[in-house]
Amino acid sequence: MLQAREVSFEPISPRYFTIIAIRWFIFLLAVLGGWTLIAGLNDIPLATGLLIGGGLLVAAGIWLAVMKLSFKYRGIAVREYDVVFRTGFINITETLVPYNRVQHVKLIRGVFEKMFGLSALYIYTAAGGNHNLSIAGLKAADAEKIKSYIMDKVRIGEEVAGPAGDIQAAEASAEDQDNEHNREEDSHGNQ
Amino acid sequence: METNNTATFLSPNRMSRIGVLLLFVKQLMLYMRAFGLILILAVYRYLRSEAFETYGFRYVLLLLFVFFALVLVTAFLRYRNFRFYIDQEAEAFILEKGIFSKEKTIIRLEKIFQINLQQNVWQQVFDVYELEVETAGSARAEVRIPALSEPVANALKITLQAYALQHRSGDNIDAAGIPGEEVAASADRRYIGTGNIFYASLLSHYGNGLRVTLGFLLVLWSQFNDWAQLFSSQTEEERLMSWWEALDSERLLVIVVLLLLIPFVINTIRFVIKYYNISYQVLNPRELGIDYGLFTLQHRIFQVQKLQELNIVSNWFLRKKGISFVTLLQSDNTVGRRQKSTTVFPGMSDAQLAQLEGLFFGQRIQQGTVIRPYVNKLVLAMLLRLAAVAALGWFATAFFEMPVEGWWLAALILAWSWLMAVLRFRNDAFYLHKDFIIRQSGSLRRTRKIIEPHKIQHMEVFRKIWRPKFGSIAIYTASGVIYGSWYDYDTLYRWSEGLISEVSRTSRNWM
Repeated sequence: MLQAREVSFEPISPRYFTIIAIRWFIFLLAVLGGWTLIAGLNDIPLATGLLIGGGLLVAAGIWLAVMKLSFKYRGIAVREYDVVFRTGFINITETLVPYNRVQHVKLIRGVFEKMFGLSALYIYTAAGGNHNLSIAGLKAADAEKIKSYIMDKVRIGEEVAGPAGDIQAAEASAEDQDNEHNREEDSHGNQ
Repeated sequence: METNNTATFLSPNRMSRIGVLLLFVKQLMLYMRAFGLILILAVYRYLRSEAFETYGFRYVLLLLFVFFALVLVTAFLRYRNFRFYIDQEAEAFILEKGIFSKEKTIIRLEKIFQINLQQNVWQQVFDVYELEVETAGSARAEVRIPALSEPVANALKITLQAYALQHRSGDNIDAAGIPGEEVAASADRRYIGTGNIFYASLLSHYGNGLRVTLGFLLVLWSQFNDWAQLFSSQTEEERLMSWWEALDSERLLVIVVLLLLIPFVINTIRFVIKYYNISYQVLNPRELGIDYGLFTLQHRIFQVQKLQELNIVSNWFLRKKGISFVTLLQSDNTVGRRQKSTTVFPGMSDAQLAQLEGLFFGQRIQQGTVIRPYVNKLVLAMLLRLAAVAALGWFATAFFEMPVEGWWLAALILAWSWLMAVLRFRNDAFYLHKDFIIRQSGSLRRTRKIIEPHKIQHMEVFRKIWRPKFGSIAIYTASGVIYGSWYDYDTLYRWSEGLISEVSRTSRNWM
């Protein structure tokens, strides 16, 4: 089997799967409802209608199962010099972002995330047009801590590098001052 | 207004007066492009109608007069409302324009990273320059001032550059004064040479040329259909059909060869015109000046530290001649603008390349150790090509009654595509050196993308769950991404860890 990167990844909250399942269910209802409507309006035979509907259901079921399995590989590791994301199940992606290239960090919480006390963490670098640097389903408190930790690291980097560094990052980190904690000590949730 | 004094840019300025005419011509061209065909059609209809017999040209002339007058008035209003100035308190360059809906663009001085002067044909006619301000950052605002007289354009450029540098790093303004024309005149200017441009374009850009030709033929075809309808003459179409039927295979061959030659010719001409007389000049250790163009003269300054990626493209012929395509990529946050932020030197000689390497890296590019993908990549590529050709052959046999001899052609195509796959695989490599990462790819045309480790923003390492031994890697810089697949995962893993820790410890700025 796959050997893990020699890093202890903090797994994302299993509650996030509930959110995925809810979204999945809503989407499935919409698709099946839509299909029923189309089939009804177009005089599609019942057998064909059921067959295609069943096919959609099976496909959706497989997708959900893959999602569930992917949780084993999702995680975030906050290390001394960089932060590492791991996402995906079929195609496992590990993203490495050194702190001194972080432009800013953002937490995003949707309606369901708020209900379940979760948060998605987005990191931005100057690399052109991509949004892969995100991980969803962190516990809100953890996400907040990770964000402050990263911003602290970015700020320290700024002080070393001098004022020529990125302004956005410096401004953002100013908001998160006085967050004294060491992420290395309390991030050891292994899968 | 026509002085070099910085103070003049602190209050609102207008463009050069001749700008009214330039705007007029620009607007006219725009309308002609939009309505030209309809206009010609309308005139054509009118000339053949009964109304023409009674009224003659009177109304046509009146209409044209009103039209020109309207465009001229619009151009004048545009000119009047187009104002630009440096707001010292806001630390911004401000540009106002618009007739009815006023538009105000504010660019923070520290965000300005490049200022280009250029001239298209009309600007050459009116002897004015277009000044273009490029900015960094995701909220990209861009400013174009289309008509400035030469002294004003130069003064504004130098002033803006000085302010930009001053606000960016808190540096003294003396350093910013260097890009002045005096220094430029004394430095050594190097030319690529039309022969090299010609040679390089002939051999390297057939893909582009082919696309242009196809587009041209499509336009021609649709135009032809339009005209056929306009004249509503069956005879034209009939004549074409009979001509087509009379065509024998020899003449057809000649036509096909001619059609295939068009892309080379068009492309070469296009290239030679665009990059005519391209030259560069090391203005100072931080800036490279580049001039080129036959009809549209371009002058741009490339900031050395903004270089993210250097591309060197060559093929066997170009290597024999010791020249290559060299492309400089600058940082750019918006995907759609890639084209804008690249600078191309077609047919640069190896000696010139060495000089550029010295300027950008302080040394020649070093290759270091090489890593290559697993041979599985080649096997898979060959199998896929085999499947594609087989499917195509089967399709042709089943639906178009391809004769058995057709399979010889299929075998030939397969052999060619396999050869290409092998060449592609042979070129596929990463060269790792402590100061350089080189990504090599391509089959006949070999591309080398070179980045310095400290320009890396972040990295991604991938692997598929069913083949964990093979990994892919994506290295992101501010100008794009370098990607490679089917490499040894463990090697990529160790490499990425090493690179990232190096990046995290570097004190060198990526920009």
